[in-house]
Amino acid sequence: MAIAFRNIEKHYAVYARPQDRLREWVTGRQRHSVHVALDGINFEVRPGETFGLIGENGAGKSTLLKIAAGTIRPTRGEVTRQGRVAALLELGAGFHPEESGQDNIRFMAALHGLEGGALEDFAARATEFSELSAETLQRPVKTYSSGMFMRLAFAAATAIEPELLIVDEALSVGDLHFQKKSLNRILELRERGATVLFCSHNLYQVRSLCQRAAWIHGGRVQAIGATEDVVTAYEAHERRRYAHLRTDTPAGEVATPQAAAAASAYASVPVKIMRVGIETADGINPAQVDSFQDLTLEIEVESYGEAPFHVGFAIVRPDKDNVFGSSTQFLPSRPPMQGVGVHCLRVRFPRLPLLSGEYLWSVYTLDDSGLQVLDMAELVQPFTVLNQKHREFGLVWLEHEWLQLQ
Amino acid sequence: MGLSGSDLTASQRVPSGRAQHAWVLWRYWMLREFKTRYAGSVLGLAWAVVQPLASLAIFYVLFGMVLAVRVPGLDLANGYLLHLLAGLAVWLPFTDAIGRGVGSLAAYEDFLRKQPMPAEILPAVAVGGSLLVMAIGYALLLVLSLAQGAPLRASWAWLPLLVLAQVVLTFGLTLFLSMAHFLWRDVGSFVTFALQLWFYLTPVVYPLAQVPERFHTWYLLNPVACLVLAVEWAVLGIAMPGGTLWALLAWVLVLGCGGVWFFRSMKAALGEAL
Repeated sequence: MAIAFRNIEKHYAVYARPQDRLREWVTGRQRHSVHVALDGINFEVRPGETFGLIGENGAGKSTLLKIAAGTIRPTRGEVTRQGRVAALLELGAGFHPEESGQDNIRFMAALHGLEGGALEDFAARATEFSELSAETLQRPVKTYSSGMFMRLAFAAATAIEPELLIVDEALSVGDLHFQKKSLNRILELRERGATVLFCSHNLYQVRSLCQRAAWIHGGRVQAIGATEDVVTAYEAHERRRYAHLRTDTPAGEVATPQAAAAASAYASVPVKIMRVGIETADGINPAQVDSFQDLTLEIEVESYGEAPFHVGFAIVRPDKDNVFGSSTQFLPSRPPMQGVGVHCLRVRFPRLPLLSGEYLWSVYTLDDSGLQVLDMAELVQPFTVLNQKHREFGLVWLEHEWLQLQ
Repeated sequence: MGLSGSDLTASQRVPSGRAQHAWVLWRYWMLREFKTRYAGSVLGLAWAVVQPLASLAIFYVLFGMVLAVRVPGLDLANGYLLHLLAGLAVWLPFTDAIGRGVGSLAAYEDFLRKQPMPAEILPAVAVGGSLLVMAIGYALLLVLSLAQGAPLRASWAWLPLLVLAQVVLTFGLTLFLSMAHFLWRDVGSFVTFALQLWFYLTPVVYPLAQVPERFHTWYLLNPVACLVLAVEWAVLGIAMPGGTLWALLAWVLVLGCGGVWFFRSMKAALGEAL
């Protein structure tokens, strides 16, 4: 066990006015209402495991992480930790703007109680990871750009070489290069046996990073177990929540790939999706496909840098259920794509085994680790599949045979 | 776990490791406090000397020369200056620690929510930061006393105890006020005003002998006055009201224990916010 939660309950005392707390303290009579943030949290994270926490905003994830990190104590129950803990709840919270980068690193070391040789090692690791020049590190932190600040903060936060790393959405900050670097750092710590407790809204990241996950709902563990099961259950819940929003979106009004790509494209997107199209063998109307017809997906992306990247796609039903998805990173022998300029990819589906229904495409570009989404065009290029020649029903054609039993 | 430095982990788990941790952090924070306090100023750390000297000069000119206050029972050339210095050696570090300490928890509210650390460090740093002023004050007092021909008294041996008393008393009060301010932000505004009043209720710029005799025991209700009277007695041999040292001991216990108790009982509020 790296960290264990035993019957954790957390109540917050909510005072309507500050003087109520004073009166309560003086008179001893309760003058606050109780907000139950967590109730009966009971699970443990095994050593070396990467564990994901998912759930809606306000479900209690952050409270649980704070209890894990030790900044707040549970009202009831206990939490046991083993090993050095680094908590990435907020980066750079303790930095002093007047102090140099170097001194702030040392301050973080002191927060962990390090001195002497251990402090020097810590400073050396943080300096190396931050990629900031010696000259920059001599300057006060207030002169740093936000990107430099985040780099330094992340470097100082993980330089303790934690055995237990607690991460709260800290990755969604900074530029892409930095996000990627910090993700790699987390992966590296994981390789070396560190336990990671990870909270994110990015279900893609949770899926790719975590072995197990827990879905926190209304302060309780709604589901816990293998990541795929938990995330799927959570997605189903989300779909039910948003069901009313979706029914009135006819396929024809779904954004065109260009518009969708442009909408999600930031100025800093290094690999942009330029075009998504489909082509059938007869080439007549690609939005109308027959079952068992040959179909080709065409993806055009433009890379603005030399960084290697991957391209992924998914066939999606209008209710966002994935029918099938794949990515160039799943190809074992193939290196990532690379090079400035336009890249054109084609994916051929011989005898497309989809049965009647409405389908859409989602296309992603990813960094070379396959974890960081660079650009996406979701639910684009709707097409209809008609199953005119067969009477079988359902989503896809499954190979089968009827066996005659005597 | 197969990671380098896991021996350190083991030491962190035992209670003595916790105290060691706090001690390392406190020392580093002190260093940072002194480095950043005067950052960007030309005189830098010299301000730590200039500020008390300036206060001393102002009060000396105003009360010692213009109003010509004299200290009965102190037969030295610059008796009033020494009396004033003894008072300021106690008062300046006290007000410095309280002034910085009151807002210390509130200023790091966000940090305390995000970073596990012993919160007592913050008031302790405020008190630690006042030690420099204190050292300068006492050094000036002792050197000037000798220079003015004051005899080296046996009662000087009390000084370390009195300094310790001041540190404990100030720390206790800072613990209390910083937490109270964190919970009720009125406290900060109140303290600013109260410190001004407190200064004139403490015999710093005037000798107690100038106050009608029947009020003297009232001064024992003021912990800082007890300290000032004790220091004046120890260094300059000025008589103090009977029971001053006992009153001081009581104040040290009340404020020291009370501050720790209040801080502990309210500590749970620190990391929480809705």
